[in-house]
Amino acid sequence: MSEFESLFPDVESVRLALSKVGYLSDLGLATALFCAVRMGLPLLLEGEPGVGKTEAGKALSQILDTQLVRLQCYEGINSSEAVYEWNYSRQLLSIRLAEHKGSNLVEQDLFSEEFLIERPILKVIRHRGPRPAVLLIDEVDRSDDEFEAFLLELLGEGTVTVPELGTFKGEYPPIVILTSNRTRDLHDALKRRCMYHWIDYPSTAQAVEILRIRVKSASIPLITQVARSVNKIRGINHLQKLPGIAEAINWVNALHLLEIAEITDVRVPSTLGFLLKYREDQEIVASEWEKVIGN
Amino acid sequence: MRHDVDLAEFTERFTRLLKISGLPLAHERASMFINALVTTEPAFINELYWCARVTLISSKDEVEIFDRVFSSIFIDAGREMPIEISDVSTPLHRDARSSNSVEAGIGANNPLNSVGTESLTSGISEQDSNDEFDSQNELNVPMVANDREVLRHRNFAELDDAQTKEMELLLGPAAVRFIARRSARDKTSRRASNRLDVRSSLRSASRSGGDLIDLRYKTPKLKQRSIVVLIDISGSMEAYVNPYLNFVHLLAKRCSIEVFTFATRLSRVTRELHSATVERAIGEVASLKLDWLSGTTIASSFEQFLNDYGRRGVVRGAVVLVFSDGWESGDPSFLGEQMRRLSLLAHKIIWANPRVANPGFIPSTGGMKAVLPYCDKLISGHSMAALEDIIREL
Repeated sequence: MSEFESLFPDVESVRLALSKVGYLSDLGLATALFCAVRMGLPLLLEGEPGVGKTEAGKALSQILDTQLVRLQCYEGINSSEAVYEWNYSRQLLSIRLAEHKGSNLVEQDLFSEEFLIERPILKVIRHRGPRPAVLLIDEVDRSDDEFEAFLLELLGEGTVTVPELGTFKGEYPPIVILTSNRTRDLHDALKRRCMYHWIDYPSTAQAVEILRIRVKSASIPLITQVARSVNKIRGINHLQKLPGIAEAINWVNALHLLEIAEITDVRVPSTLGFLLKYREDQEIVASEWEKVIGN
Repeated sequence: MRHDVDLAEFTERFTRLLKISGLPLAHERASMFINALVTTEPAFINELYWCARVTLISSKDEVEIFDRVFSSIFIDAGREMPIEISDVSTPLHRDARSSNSVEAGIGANNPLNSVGTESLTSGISEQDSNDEFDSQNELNVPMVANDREVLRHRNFAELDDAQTKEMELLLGPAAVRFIARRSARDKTSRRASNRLDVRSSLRSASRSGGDLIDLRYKTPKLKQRSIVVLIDISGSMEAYVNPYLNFVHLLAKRCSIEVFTFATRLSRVTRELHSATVERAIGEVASLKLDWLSGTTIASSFEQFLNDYGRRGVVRGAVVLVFSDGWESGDPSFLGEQMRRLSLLAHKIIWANPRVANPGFIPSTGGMKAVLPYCDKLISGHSMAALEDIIREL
């Protein structure tokens, strides 16, 4: 950890480093990431889809110049996909081989490290440095609640236990970032082991900065207009899915590709599909289009 | 943070104040907070704010309470860092529950005291009315063991102990089989299918010295579909709310369930309903600041439900159970639109309307008319027999 102490002496240094790799953060997120790195505690990030939760994890691994191990959660994920698995065919071959040689094979030989297949979590625990790896457990709310229990040992103690072999404790305990879309409540046991940060939609000024960094070739006036319109669209009632920053980036990219310089261009409404993913939402926004693009 | 403030004491007081204001605070969080203070050494109030927020709360829903407490201490008072907070929280104890002591503790103009007392008193008055409801019925209804049928068809406005028992029987462990769907998980079976379970086959082979004697196959597991319950707690549903909460509490013990109440706005009560006893559960729900017995805007509540919870995954593939009389004060066509969205997400929608049992009922209210095309089943929710019908549909 001492290396990080000199690398990131305060919150501001984290923020600066993040912006250098193209990820703009506010003070809240920078504080959260700073604490995660320096205190070695897992961080749970929540926020609307498309506000950059996953990107935050990726950016963190970039600024620490370390390996990112991403574990995408899904319903039915279990420890043999996330933690470790025994290499059964190899075990079987060993049994056969031992038979042929007539040597004596005891069970302990079959359940040793050479027959262990590393999955993401074991991999980050056994990471050899020189700096801890970043483990991104993405969309943890998609997994079943039984799976959360598998994570508790990792989050609490930074260890993984394989019953046949014992407990693995890494030389470089990983920095763990969890993200969730709040499709269901996570268990309290998991939450209390993590720090928590809610990522909000960026303000217009922040959005302009982010778009400038992410779509370098687009013109500043267009980016400003887009950022302002997206913010206005978020204020419209009865929309089913509000556009996030990811959608805004796509939209600017599309407008730029189509060589549209002004948001008042008549072709713009036909590109709303990049921003709004429901037909009903597109209709609502189209009906209030004047307000959206007006000053 | 300067060192003339005792960190431990400061943290203790601050977290205690948060707890009193209703923030569920796990004990690890306080030490996380101290740790973060030491690591980040906040010099400005916004730095302190983020330091505290990142470590002390565990859900977006808690931000509001946190912000209120934080600003009442650090911002409203217009104090500069480092802060003297000894005068803010000294007389506060966990048992200081009366409005007087809270007021004395924090100061009359503090937003905290209004919050504390309001939620407490509303909880108490609801509790009282529940008690009244129960005792009144115990007096009025003679209980005879063999009038089961009568009990079963009696209108809920007269729910009593016997009916509660009956409800428990109805939802007993053996009684219900919920609708299942194929899960993404597999289970091993010996029955031949087209997917071989290599892992299990090899494991069994290792038992027979490496010879594959019997093959194991994979079949998908069945998983119970989750159930989402929406309960109308507006004035017109008054008599039914308690029995429904009772019913849902029992249901919550048996299956995975999400429960919401609505009248003019939506509230999530799943956590409260998972309390051990039904009295506790109903008490917990009653102590929430819900929009009890107000008017109904089903459509906007449903819209809020779909946007905040439903679309994200709560109702995807779920069985949705709505308890409401469908009296909508808003635009029925807007309600129809929300129901259409709901029906696209849900596996099945069951609407329980206590008015259906009234002789000569036709779904003529605008709301009910708009809703019907999207319901898979309309059931009268007025009696035990009706609840039995509901269970059959789950």
